[in-house]
Amino acid sequence: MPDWIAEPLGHEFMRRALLGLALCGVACACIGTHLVVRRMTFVGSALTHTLLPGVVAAWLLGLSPYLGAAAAALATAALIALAGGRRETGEDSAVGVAQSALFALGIVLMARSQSWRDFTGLLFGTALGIDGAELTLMALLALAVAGCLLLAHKELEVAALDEDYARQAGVRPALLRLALVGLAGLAAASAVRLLGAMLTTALLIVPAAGGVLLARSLLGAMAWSVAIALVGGSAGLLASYHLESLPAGAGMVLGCCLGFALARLWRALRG
Amino acid sequence: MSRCDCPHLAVEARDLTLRPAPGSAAVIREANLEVPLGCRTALVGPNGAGKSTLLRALAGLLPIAGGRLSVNGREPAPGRTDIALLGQRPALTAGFPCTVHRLALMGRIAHRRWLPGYTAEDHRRADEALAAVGLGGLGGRLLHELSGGQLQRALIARALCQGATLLLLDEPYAGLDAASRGNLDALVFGPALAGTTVILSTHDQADSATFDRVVTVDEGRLTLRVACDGHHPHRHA
Repeated sequence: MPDWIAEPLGHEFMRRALLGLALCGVACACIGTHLVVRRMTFVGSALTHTLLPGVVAAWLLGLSPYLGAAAAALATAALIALAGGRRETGEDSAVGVAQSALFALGIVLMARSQSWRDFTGLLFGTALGIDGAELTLMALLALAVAGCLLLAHKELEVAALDEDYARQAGVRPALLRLALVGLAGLAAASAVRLLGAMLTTALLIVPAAGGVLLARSLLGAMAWSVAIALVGGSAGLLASYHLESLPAGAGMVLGCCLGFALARLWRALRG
Repeated sequence: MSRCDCPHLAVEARDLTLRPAPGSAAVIREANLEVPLGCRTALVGPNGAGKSTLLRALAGLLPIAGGRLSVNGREPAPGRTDIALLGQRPALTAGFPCTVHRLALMGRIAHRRWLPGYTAEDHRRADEALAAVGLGGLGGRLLHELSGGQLQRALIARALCQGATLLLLDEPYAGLDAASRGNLDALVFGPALAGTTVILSTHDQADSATFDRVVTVDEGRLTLRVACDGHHPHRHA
């Protein structure tokens, strides 16, 4: 193994960060693929803002940020369902309302603490400070998200491709859509310590956007997305170890973006 | 025996009233309709006459506002495997990574709801359905690589794979070139759909010229204009 890989892997904190990336990568890339093929990336983007009040409130109350993020994610899903369920409000408007309301609430909570600097880790992640208990929680969340997606794969696939036909077949597309928002929230919550509230959306959307370009099936797109998240994210994390000016979270996101760019290039060359 | 001599009814409507949405004005009012099993029926009428509303009600996607409606002896409802509706300009999600075989396979979803995966039997049925509509060699193609006519046939293959005995086609000729229209006719009147009752909507009278039965939809009424006499010529390919 080359030294530039072996040396970082010699550190416990790097091994934990890589394992955390693998677990969050599976959860986020799998659910992200569904968001991308359904043209629902705005939901992933909105989660960046809606997780904020949850993690800040959890920090103020001395609770786990994962708990706060998960609660905020479920609140997002509920708000979207409540606002979007009415005919006069479209889903995109509902997401916009939920995003604005929860982000503003997050800012109010941050202002109450009177210490903006303490939130840097919550906003941009502390990938190198992940402990064993957090890895266990990440593993459980990854298992829950990936498990639900695989169990309902047929139904989700039909509903994503052809909502009318899904309705005919007795599948309930609106319910599945809501479940997807909830699962996306849980996946984003799993990555909140790894990448922070502001960057988790990248792990949801970027690998999936690349995976969809390479695949001939939904399952294939999910597999490619996971591969881009793991390979791109790991490369970025290793690069951040060697480049002092590159923070770990930003390195992982940029690595995934490089993966997306290569997928885009491959697709363009293939015609 | 002509397909229309069959005494059993695929569709029966009595005093049927339909609204396209709850609270909106009725577009079908106290109408009656009978479609024998195996018949090819064209619903003809101007845009907005209520053809799509009727087809959606037959597919169980729209609650009836009054009267009675039955398909194969039962009230239509979502999840019925014997009914398939191909909507006007099927709204498939653009760019979705899916092969033609996979699309046909989705016809089995109502048989396997919430069970893990599809079976080998499901895959065999999908292959057979694709062969029946003339897409046997295109199972591995992506949906966005198909022409409009081929996509329509792939969607009919999905209905065949589902095992539908009532196929509802909403304005299927719209946007098709002459060759694709010919292919669709060959399919509708050919052996692949021999045991299937087909109800097709069109705003163009000319499209209905060779159908067993023609029902006009206008001002809320359904009027049987051409009934099958057993000697009606079909457009066999």
